[in-house]
Amino acid sequence: MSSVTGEAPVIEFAGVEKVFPGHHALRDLSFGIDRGELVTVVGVTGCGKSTTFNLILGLFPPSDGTVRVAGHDPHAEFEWFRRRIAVVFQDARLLPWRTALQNVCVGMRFAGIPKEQWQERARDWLSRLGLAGREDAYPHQLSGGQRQRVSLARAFAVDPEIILCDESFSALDEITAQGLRQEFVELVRTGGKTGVVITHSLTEALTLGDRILVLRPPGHLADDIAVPRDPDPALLDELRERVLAGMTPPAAADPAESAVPAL
Amino acid sequence: MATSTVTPPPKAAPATGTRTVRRRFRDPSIPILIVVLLAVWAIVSHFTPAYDVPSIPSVVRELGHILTTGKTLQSLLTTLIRVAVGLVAAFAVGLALGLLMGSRSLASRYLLPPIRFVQGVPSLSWVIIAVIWFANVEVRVWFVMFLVTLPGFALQTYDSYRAVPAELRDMARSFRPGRWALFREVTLPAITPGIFTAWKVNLGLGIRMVLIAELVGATVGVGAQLLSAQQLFDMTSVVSWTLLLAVCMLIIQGAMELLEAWALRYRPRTGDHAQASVMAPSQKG
Repeated sequence: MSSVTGEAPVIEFAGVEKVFPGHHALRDLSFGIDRGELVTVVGVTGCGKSTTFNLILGLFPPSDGTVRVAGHDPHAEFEWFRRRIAVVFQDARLLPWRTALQNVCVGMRFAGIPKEQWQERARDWLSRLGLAGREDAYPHQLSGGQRQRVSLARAFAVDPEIILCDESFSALDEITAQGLRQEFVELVRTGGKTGVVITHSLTEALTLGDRILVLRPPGHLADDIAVPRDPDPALLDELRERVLAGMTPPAAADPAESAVPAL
Repeated sequence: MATSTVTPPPKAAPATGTRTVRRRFRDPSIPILIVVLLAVWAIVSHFTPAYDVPSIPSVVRELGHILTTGKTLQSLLTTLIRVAVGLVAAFAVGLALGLLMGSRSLASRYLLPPIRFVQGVPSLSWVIIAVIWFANVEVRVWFVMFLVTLPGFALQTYDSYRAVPAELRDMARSFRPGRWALFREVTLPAITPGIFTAWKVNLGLGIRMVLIAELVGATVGVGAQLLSAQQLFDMTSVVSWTLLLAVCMLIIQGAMELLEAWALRYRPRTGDHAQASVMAPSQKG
């Protein structure tokens, strides 16, 4: 797999197939993501985004082909990725019996970070994400956006090399989501992390990452689009059309039949 | 980078349990019910013989006697200890079985049927079996207590384990936690409400069963005292012992509710969600 930086990609899929009973989720999927890149993976429902996400996370092995993350097999070497990968899910998935501060600490406990560091790190990250003063609130006392901020704090507090987002901003209202996206991008870039954002939102794909991987059913790479920082509106329109074309299955090329998501 | 512009934070979730209990004690319905019950009792006892419905003063005297006499007080304590030992043993084994069945499908396939079978056996059958099998009265009582309350603990733990949200497990798993950390942070808190439910149900069941078990062969205990009173046609003693045991149970259940309210203090009270949504516009996100 080629690399912009010349280094081996930190995330590499080579000829990956994934077959579930009665369903071919991924077919010959190959791509590479360099260290420090922020990449969005976009596609229509059923294109294999979640399967790709779970393969990177190591929740199951590929049926064929190889998946390498930092040179290791994420499924076979599941424990090796402790503290190296963190996830922000679509819903915040906070423990309801823990306060905001404790939820951030729990992530560090799971990741095996020494206990002496929990409190300071957790307070620092909650503060950076605008939740100073809300440390003792339980999840039900927080708004949806605040809960997702706690979830981000929990992921970043582990100081992972790779951050995975599974439609993390899609359940929020657009204004809240926009603010969180900007903060997320800034945190990933300033922290030198590698970010992979699974999304079904074209807006998110176009504004968030350095590259867009467009998946098309049945789970193969339809396009790999580089996105410049701060693109002008004309280029954005062009990129949007290109992403749309990549997402749309050939059989449904007619716009009336197309199943592309609303922008 | 985000900067905080939050409004002054509310305090952490208050101790909801204490409030609930205070509310309960302020509730006038309980004193009203007690007064009505005593009035009805006084009227009925006035028109019926003492061997059918004893008078309130005679029962009060008998209660005083029980609580100030070493031998009778020992009977009460013995019964309560038997309940406690039986329930704790059944809880320990039931919890282990429930967790094993929840986490291992092989275990659930082999353990669920016999546990459900034990649950279906009439309690009285266990009493008769215990009398035949064991000469020692204590063993008889604990055997019955254990088998009658074990299925409740095991099945409730099993159901609670299976109800732990998969999303939370996946979230935890994404951090690659150790087994103990996963159990302590996710599984145990998630099954705690179910454990409290099992305790509350089994507490009532245990106290009823211990009396039945004590009726057969025991010389010490509330059951033995009730049997003795029945043989002497001493209705005052029957009512006194029954009342005493019922009050003890109410106190234990009250303590249990306090403990439950403290352990589950994170649960939202009415209005908490509204509070969050009202605060949201002034806060980030």
